[in-house]
Amino acid sequence: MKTELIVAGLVAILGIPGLWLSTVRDPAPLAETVFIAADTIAYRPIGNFHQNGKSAVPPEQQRVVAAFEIMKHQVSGAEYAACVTAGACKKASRSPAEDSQAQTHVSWHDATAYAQWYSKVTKASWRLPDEAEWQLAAAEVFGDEAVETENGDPAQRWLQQYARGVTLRGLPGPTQAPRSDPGTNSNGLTGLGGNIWEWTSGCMQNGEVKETGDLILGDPYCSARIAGGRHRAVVIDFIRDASVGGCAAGLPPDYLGFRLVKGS
Amino acid sequence: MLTRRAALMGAAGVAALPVLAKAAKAESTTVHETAAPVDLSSLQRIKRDLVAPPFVHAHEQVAPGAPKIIEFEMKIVEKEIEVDQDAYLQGMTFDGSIPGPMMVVHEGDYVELTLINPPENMLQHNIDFHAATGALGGGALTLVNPGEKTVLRFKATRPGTFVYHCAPGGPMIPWHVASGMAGTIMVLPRDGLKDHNGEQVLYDRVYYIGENEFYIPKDENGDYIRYEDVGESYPDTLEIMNGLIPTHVVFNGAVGALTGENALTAKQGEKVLFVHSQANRDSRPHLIGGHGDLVWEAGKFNNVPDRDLETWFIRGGSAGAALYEFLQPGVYAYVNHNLIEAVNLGATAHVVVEGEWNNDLMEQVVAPTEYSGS
Repeated sequence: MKTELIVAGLVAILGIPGLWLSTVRDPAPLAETVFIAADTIAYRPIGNFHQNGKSAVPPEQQRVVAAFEIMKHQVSGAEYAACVTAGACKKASRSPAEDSQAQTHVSWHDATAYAQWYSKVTKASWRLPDEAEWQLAAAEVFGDEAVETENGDPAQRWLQQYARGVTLRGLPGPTQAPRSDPGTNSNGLTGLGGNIWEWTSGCMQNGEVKETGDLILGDPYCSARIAGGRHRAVVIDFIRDASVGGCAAGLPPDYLGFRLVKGS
Repeated sequence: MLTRRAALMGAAGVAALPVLAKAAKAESTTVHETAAPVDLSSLQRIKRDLVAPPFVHAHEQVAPGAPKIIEFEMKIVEKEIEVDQDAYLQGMTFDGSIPGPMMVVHEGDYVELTLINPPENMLQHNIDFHAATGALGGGALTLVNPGEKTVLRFKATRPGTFVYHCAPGGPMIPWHVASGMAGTIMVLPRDGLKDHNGEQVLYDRVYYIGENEFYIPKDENGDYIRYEDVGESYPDTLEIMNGLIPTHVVFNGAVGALTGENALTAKQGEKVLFVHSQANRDSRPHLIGGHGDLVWEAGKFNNVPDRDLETWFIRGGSAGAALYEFLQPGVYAYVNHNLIEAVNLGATAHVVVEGEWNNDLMEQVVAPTEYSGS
């Protein structure tokens, strides 16, 4: 995969005080991005699916994802702080210990506000990845928490999903500070193996699973967005800290951060 | 001027505790000079190795033979514990765990505890057994400084689940308990537990849920403050404690200590005894998706158990017991049903139960489908 530093044309903007720097104390340098080539992934929507009146796990669908550019790193504390200083982002409930570390404790709305502000100041288009893009970019780090069971026993699916969630997390314990994996995945993205989940624009879906395996999708429920991480998580969009336990049906994400896709 | 360490260890502490100092003196007069000696040399001795919660050491539910002397040994360990993400407690522990390990004996047995305060500790400690009679539950006879050990024997005369905790006097008492120094002893009736009809009931498993609330100070940025040692943590902690609003309410000493890979396990059809202990503050256990078939809410087995409870009340400073037969497989959440404390502050455990789904008890008749209004 090709790593590109997007420089041309933007250095000029960054270098001119008064254009927008006057309101930004410490402007974030333009984010380094990674080019992800178009590919086909085995994609499984998350949500309420049914078959013959019973809850069902949708089978994987072959899905073509167009090429895109995505930030190499998660948005850092310093970068997010610049948006807060500019008055375009709300202050997160926590800031990372070091400015260079990933910003956590942000809601989907916070992340979206950052994308809008960042688009404005860079005169480019930035947005959250959709869940298929995130899966393609995450590559081998993506974990599918879904479990397909044949016998229609709701408890088995539940138990297996719980066990799978535990395996996918693979963390030594529940009490860990936010930690971006210092390594890179096969696409050159950093931070994916840690305990920071990343907001996507994906919504909780619903629909019917036909006997053929085809899906008939209904209207998605977009107050619940998909966060990508060691396993995907469905999180209400105004939540900044979903780490607290209590949900017996699945494991929550530890921390919520994000990275952006360049282009519309 | 006293150093902090000296103040915490001795002189200033004792001076602040005239009541306890007097009590200790009174005991030394009555117990040691006039009490008739007791000869227990004919009793069999058994040594039990304690295990860390939520598990309980091997034991018989029905006592085999005559009362015995049951020996336990506990080392007090002062250590820092991460109770949640970036939240560190200068913890004080019985035997290294929060809560302290659970002891099991039978009514009429003698509990003989060797309590060790290793020299590397900073503070003096003791133990008050709610199951014991006299001398502040043993607290007045067991005050050990760092580098000391003591042996206490008491007769377990009342069957039930009881709290034990550290109570070294004055303001040290709530602080030591709020720092984790509490545990549980279960005194079983010699012929085992009885249901509401007086019929014997046996459990297949026992889990010991120790609930603690912690008061961890924050700095001006809202981050939890991490302290060098237990002494340094005291002044700020005291201030938060006196506000009575905990920062954490947890099972087994930390948020998530009994979930995920640490979740409790059981099988469909098994009877599980949940012993729930809270030394300082009221709680209200609830098993989401299950019940308490037989509940000794106050934990005392001479009372007829309540049946079919949805939620039961644990008075601060007591331990209760609830027996439940798992009828349905799945993932259960065992919570403090103040749900703010359960979900936001940490008081949640999970029980993963294997088995076959029973559609008679519950069935999904129509899975969630679209509804666009009538």
